[in-house]
Amino acid sequence: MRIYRLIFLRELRKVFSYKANYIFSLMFYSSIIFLVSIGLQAQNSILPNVAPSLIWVSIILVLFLSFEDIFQDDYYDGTLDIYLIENITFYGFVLIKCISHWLANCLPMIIITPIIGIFVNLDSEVILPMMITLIIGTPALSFIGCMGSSLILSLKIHGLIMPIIILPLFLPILVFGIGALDVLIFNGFEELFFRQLALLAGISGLSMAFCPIASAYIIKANYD
Amino acid sequence: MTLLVKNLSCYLSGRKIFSDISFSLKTGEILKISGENGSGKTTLLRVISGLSSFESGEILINKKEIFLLGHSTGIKQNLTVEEDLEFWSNFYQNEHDDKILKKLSLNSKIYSQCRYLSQGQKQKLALTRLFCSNKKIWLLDEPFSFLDEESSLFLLNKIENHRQNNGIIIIVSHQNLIKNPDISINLGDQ
Repeated sequence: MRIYRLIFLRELRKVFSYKANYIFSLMFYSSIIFLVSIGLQAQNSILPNVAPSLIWVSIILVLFLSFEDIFQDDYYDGTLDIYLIENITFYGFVLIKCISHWLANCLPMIIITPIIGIFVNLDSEVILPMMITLIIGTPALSFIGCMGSSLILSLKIHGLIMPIIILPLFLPILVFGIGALDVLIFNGFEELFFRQLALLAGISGLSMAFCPIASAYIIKANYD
Repeated sequence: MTLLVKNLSCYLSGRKIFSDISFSLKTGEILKISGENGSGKTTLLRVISGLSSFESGEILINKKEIFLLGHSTGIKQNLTVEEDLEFWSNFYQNEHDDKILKKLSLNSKIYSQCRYLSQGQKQKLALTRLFCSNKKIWLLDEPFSFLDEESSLFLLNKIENHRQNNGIIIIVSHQNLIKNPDISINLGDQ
């Protein structure tokens, strides 16, 4: 446990020392929202209605940029070799990577979402539910993304392989994430909102349980 | 403690890398592996350390005692030398020796990010991890690469000390700095 805590702290240091990475992610996220809000200026009234979908889709697009090199650094710089020799389980390592990915990539976007919401006239009553769906749903994106990243670990040229594989896995998260907010905005059904939220939490839970196992297995397969 | 390799053969995509390698090393012994580029020296070290699989043969080794210093040294570009040293000394629960840093001229680079280090300095940083580890079996792949003369001599001394302290060393090197290995294998002869 002591060693996993050390690795976790090292990962956090590493991801947060790449300041450009998360600053550009936040800028890209803001830019998408800002551009769409300008594009839809003529139909200003529909903006608040499409805002939740827009925010969810933008976050997924931005996250795709960060999935590519989650494990590649560690694979090519020999870190994975060292951990394998030192008997560090890949499951634990993947779990650490997923959590640090969420902290470095998803959390900053969730934090600035209330500010970004101003561009798309996001109703102030929807901000809190929006944040809740993002906090519950985005871990699934990180965990599935990490699994996708492990698939392209030893491929130097991978192009669009990873997005094509993992995009279908994002659909349920998108459907329930946006669906939960839609029932709240259009119908005002709080009960339905919580049901969809529970489904979203279920998907996140399943991703947290199975993706690190699959990912660890895939990484190990690169060594056999 | 002994290290036994018996009739070891390794093929990659049907191509023979090496075959029928056998040797036995006791504590305090050094094995030197030489051979031309692509003869399988690095692969042999990776197979012994358990990182690569092999077709046939047998390896008897205490895996907990292995330290592999390969071409990829696990150095993170955007962490500082101090952060790297701190991580590995906590990892191995063994304080790094400031004298070694001074000897390897790394003490002035302690707050530099690793991306700004030269290849030689990165190799020296990787060596500090080796000295910090307290492992008995050293698998060294071209450890003298990029090192200046003084640092090479320092490493030679460390290798000799490790041998005298009942360590086992397998070294891959193109240079003839190891003058009296107990066993030599030339993979180019295969």
